[in-house]
Amino acid sequence: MLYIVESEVRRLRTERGMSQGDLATALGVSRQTINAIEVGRYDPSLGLAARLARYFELSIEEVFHVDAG
Amino acid sequence: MSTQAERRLPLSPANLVISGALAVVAVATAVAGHWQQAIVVAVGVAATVVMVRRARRPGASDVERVDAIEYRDERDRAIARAGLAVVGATAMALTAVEHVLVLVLRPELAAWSLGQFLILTVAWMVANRVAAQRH
Repeated sequence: MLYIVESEVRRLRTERGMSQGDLATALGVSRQTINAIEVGRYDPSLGLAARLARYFELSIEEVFHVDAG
Repeated sequence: MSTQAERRLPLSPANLVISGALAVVAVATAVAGHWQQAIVVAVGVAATVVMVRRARRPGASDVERVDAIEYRDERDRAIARAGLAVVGATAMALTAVEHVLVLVLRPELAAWSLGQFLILTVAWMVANRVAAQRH
């Protein structure tokens, strides 16, 4: 089954006035990884998804929306 | 993700091993009197170091890091895995073609080409089992 993952990362980041580089540094990943997650080109591991959610003080479900396609 | 200790090194441990091995090959080739080949290998060492230094800059692209085996995060490793999988499949296909050509043109070398294909096949099967245990 195909799963479509959409994230709120771009909205959450821009609401906080952060650049992709700022968020990448905070999470210890590359700027390209943040960009790839934001545009839906890369689905992060559960660990990275949890770190992102924790950073924004939200649950994983509030940051990532997974729909069966 | 690289550790802080790895970040302080001029090259990652993997690149230190690769560069060191290439440097040894360059010296051994020179000692054997093959100066032109030694220079080619030495240039390879220098190019490796330059690529790695570029890949370790803060603004380096993902492709620069993956090409230089200087992975920064899980996505870099995922890109590298996908790329190396293509390399492995290509190596197996080319080796099969090579074996057919060797059988026709140089049958006395067929054991070597078949051995190469078998080694690649065994490596693939072992890698599958290691991956299955880790994932």
